[in-house]
Amino acid sequence: MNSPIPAIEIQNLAYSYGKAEAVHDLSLRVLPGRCYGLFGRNGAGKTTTMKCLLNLLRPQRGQVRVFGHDPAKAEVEVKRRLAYVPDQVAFYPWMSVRETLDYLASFREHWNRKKEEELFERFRLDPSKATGALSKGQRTQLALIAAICPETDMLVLDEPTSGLDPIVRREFIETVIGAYQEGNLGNRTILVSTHLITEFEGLIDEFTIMDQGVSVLSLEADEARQRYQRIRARFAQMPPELDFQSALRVRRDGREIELIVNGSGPELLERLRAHNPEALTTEALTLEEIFVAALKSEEPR
Amino acid sequence: MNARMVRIRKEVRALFWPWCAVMIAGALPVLLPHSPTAAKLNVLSFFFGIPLLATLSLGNEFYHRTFSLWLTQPVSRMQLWAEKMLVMCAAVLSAGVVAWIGMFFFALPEMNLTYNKAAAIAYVVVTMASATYWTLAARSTIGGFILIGCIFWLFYLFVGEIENLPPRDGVFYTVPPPTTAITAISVFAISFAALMLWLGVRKLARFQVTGGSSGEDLLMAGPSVMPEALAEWFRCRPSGAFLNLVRKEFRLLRPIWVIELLAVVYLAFLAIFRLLPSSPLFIPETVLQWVVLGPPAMTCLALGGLAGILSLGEERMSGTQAWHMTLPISARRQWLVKLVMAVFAGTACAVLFPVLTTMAVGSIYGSPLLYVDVSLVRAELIVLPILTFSCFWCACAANGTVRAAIWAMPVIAAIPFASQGGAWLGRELAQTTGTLKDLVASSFHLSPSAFAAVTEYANTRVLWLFIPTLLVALFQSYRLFRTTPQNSALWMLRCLLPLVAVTLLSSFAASAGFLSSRWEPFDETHHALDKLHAGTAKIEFTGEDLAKSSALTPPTQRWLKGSSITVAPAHSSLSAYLATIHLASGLECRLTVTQSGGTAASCGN
Repeated sequence: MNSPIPAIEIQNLAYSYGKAEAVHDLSLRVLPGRCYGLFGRNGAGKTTTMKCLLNLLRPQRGQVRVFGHDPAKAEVEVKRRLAYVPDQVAFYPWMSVRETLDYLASFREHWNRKKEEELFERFRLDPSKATGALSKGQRTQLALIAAICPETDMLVLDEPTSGLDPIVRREFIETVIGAYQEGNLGNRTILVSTHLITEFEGLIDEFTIMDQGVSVLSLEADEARQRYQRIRARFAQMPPELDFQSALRVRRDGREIELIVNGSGPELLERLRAHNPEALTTEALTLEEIFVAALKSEEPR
Repeated sequence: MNARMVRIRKEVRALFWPWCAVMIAGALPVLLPHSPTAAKLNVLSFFFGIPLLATLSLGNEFYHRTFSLWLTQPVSRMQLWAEKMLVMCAAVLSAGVVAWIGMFFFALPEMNLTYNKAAAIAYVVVTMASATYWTLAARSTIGGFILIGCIFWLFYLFVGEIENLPPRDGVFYTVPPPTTAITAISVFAISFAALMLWLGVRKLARFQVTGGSSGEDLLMAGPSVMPEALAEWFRCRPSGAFLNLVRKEFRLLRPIWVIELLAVVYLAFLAIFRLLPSSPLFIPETVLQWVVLGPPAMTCLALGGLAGILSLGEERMSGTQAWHMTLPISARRQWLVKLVMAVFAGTACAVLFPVLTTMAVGSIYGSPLLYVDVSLVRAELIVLPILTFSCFWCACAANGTVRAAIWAMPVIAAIPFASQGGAWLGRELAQTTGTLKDLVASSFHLSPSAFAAVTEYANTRVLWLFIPTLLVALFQSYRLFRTTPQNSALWMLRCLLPLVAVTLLSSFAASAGFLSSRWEPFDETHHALDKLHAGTAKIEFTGEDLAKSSALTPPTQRWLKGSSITVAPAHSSLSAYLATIHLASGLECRLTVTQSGGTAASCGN
């Protein structure tokens, strides 16, 4: 059976702004129906990568394919199948919320009016209000409505929740994004770049952590949780001096030892068990902890 | 370096490049005393550059959305303002002095009257003093610039010789004003400047940063003055993407329509009261004439340029352009809609609406063409769209309205300079080697006037020389429309380089190809025959005989190669002799030499 055409396929992407290399040799593949996270510190190259996908920037090296198409060649076909929420949302200040959505709807083949009304209610947005009078968070809400209502095959979200209050943020992530994917299960893809990794924890299927334009880690979320673990051991007396070189981080606190491990959990567990600890527990790291651990492990010790 | 110096250095850096541009344009008449282009650039730098420099200092904070950041520094507002004013005054005064000297002593020596010079000084002083107030009121550089322009117009209208209106005996308002008038203007200007300065300080002290987005910009947002029924048409609908793009463009160009409406009403007023000169080529001579008649012409010119810049410039600044690129409509279509709308708006506002207005008023007096020169309108219909397109190119290459507006003048000036450079190079080359046209005519023994029609056409219609540049600019503007421009002068120069190169090459090719031809084969033949004492009896020469007797130029030698020349005395009392040149190609040219040494020639088979 043939594997489905990936929603996104990036091969050896490179892009520089003058001499500053924003993305270097990045490769990733997102299958349809997945929610893919792009994590990284500020200036890691996430937005540049997204802009290359959207044909806002032309890759200087490498290849970018969206639904099997080159965004530069099949520009309209690609854009027809995706909706984008930029990191800095801007609208025409003279247009009302209603007019802005009408304007955007005119470019789309399909627009879910029922969903639009529902989101108005949920976000408590006044359709008659001019967009110039909206707060930053309200503008983001409007951008999210504009991205959800066309019910495209893919959502590209660049820091979508920045500026949203905690209630709306939680509701958006848990309900709106979830409902979007469930609307056509297995076919709607989300590519999200965010700093608020914890809030997207339950949604992310796969992710790439970027640092200084380079992919540091690309994994399935479940596999990452299996590999990245926290091991806690408490001993009756002072713990023995053991070699934990394979651990990402070691913290000793009196009779306790805490290890952050990447894949070497079983081996280290065996070694700790050999010294008869009073208590020995393991737990999966959250994606945010994995993000921090992965980036810390990249830093020179 | 202490903190104050760091802040001052930031202010200097913000104004440095625009200041350089205004200084250079202001000093051009000193460097090129007889160049009309230099004189025009000087006047533009004085009347546009000075207010732009004055408003740019504060307007930059709105433009870069750094106003909140600037005001929230742990320094008093007054101190921050004083630092800005210090740098702005230094920039405006230095540029103003240079432009003032250039204007009155080199560019427009006929305006070198005490009254005019005092008015110009008052202009600089009041501009500096009122920049803070108007920029804060408009919340943008361009808005502040326009408001300052409006106030000056009212100011000069007030201080001008209103009592001389309307014209008497066909003569427009006459000057010169008495010394008391100069004193009155000076006192009024100083008082007005002090008032504006006080208002500016007060406004800054009470200023509230309520948004900082473009929604606060007076120029772009402003009060809604359109009737609801009409506004409904311009409201975007849930379907019809293309029409929605057009509607959006109309709305983005809102400031142009508003200014155009005021300009047209003013023009109609002038026309109704017969204050417009019948000849459109009338050049105002007094300050009052300039004040009354200058604004419509300058507004039309400015609107032509602004139409090209405003829409894309504002979208780039607000970030809506990048966001539009992700909508499912091709970038090419978006670019085309924007370009066509800009050119339409520019041409309509700068030419069509003013012409139609004056024609309508003229028809009241029984002659629709009372104030209209059809040939001038025809020329404007070619030049204005080019101006709008040039400004549109600047908007594609630059990031935002102000940046594009600042670059528009150097970019537009660079192209004619490149053209002149190319033509000069071509002329120099043609002087030593002859033109390509000469080479072809001489090598194939054609009539020297074989390409005369083409040369004549090219000489009378120089605009065609810019067609390759326009085509490259058109292609380039689409490419730049899709990219994210960089905020550096180097980037702009890199964008401009292909246009300059193409202009230089096309001008060079046209000049070296045929425009710089100085080849006069009949004159050379005539002189050679004179040296051989021909004309006394019927005699036959070859081209080689002539080459031996006289120093013929290489093209003439080539042209006469293999030819035979039959010379016979003329039967007429006016003519000395008649030479028939049988060229190697079979073409026969007849050269008639008169008693006085003049020649007449024609060629045919």
